[in-house]
Amino acid sequence: MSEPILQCTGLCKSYGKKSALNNITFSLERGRIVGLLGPNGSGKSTLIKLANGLLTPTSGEIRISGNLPGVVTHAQVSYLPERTYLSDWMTADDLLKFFSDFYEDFNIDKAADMLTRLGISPKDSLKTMSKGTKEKIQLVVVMSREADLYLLDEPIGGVDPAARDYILNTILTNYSESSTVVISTHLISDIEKVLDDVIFLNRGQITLHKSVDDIRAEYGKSVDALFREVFAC
Amino acid sequence: MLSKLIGYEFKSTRRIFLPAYAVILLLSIVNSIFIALPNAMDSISIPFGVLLTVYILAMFAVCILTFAYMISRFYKNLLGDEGYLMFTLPAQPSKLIWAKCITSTLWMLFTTIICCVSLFVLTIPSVITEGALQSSDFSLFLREFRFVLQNLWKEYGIHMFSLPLLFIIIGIIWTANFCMHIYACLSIGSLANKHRLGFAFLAYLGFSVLWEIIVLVFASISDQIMPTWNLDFLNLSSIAEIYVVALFFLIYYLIKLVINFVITNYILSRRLNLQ
Repeated sequence: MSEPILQCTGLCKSYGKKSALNNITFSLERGRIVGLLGPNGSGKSTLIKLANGLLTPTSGEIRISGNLPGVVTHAQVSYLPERTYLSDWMTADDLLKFFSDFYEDFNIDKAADMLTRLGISPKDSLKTMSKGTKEKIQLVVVMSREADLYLLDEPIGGVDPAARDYILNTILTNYSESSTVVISTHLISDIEKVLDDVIFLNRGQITLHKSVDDIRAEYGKSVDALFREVFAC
Repeated sequence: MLSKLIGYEFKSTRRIFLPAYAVILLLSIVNSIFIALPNAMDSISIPFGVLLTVYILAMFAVCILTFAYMISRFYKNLLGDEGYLMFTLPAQPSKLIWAKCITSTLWMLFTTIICCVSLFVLTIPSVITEGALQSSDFSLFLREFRFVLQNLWKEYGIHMFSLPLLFIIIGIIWTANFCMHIYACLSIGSLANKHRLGFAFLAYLGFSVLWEIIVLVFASISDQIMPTWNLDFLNLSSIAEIYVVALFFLIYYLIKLVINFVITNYILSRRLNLQ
């Protein structure tokens, strides 16, 4: 069996006295679309930030293809944060050049083509764009990389339902069969149809890690229905 | 990778600095034209006064801008939201830090050069009018200047170039250390869960106190070990002594630069916690 693309062992993260992730152990195989599902504040973003080396674990470890987060893993992982990280002075064209300069796996033609289809001119300044447009541009550059692992934190959280379909379609048509895509969200019904596996995260702990087919067979209900039942307030 | 990062850093900062430099140079040219006008002080004293005040304020502003931009660039681009992009690039954190430090040091150097050039531009008309625009006076000035240079060459030889060069290098290292020290403080501040800038300021104060203590302890120890060692910094008798003192300062600031880099690099590569 090949090495897991992502592996967590006894992973803990606390902010001061507040625990965000508590002793998490799991691994993800290659070639899967995984939903990282949980209510707000369940630790989804923390987990993804740890995988990108933006946070340091309090204890335990997280590995990507056997490596701790660092220069090697940054070249393999394409990350979409839950916030806008773009510099305002850039134009869309500057951003594509920036990605093409720093990431060897970035396909600039593909990105330019996707921007054109979205009606974004390469000369448009990012400063003048709406939050939703910026999020779309971020998704375009992130999905234009030919990475081994895509970590998408709330990719559909801030956009309208029409744009959601476009985004999901973009994700589905732009990853290769050997790559793994992790999508963190609490909007399950929108993405359920594309998922292979789901992980339920609640208060910093994994409560469920199963394939969507197994869930349907075992519980006789959709992931969305199960989520509503498990996380009922 | 470092050169790419520096190139990107210049690209994102030059749109602020180049117009600021252009304004300074333009103001100094306009002011020097006013100075050159006959009876400028009497007939157009009010607009001239205003222009000169604007020029002086602009000089202060560009210096403050250089300093403030060095801090905000590091804080926003690495420790703020843009850090999500920068720290997920396939580049070591050490390279991100050096790219910032080198770029800021160079901008500080350019600001110093621009300020010197603009002051020089400002003095041109007074030099010319003092000499009443006589070409013979100008050639006399050139002759004098050459004479002084020749004498300096006779007296000091190669040292008249190597010593100023050494002082410039010390100045550059001092500036780089100044930037890196601020980066180290900002990085320490980033370890806190909130009030990060406040903690960075506390770190700056803490470092200052700590450094005073180290210097005091070191001075008292060196007094005990070498009671006869008494170098008068203001009264150096030989070129060799000047070199010794200059090299001492060079090494001193290099060590401080390395210490500040190690602190910054350790935090940003092993203890990074972006909010």
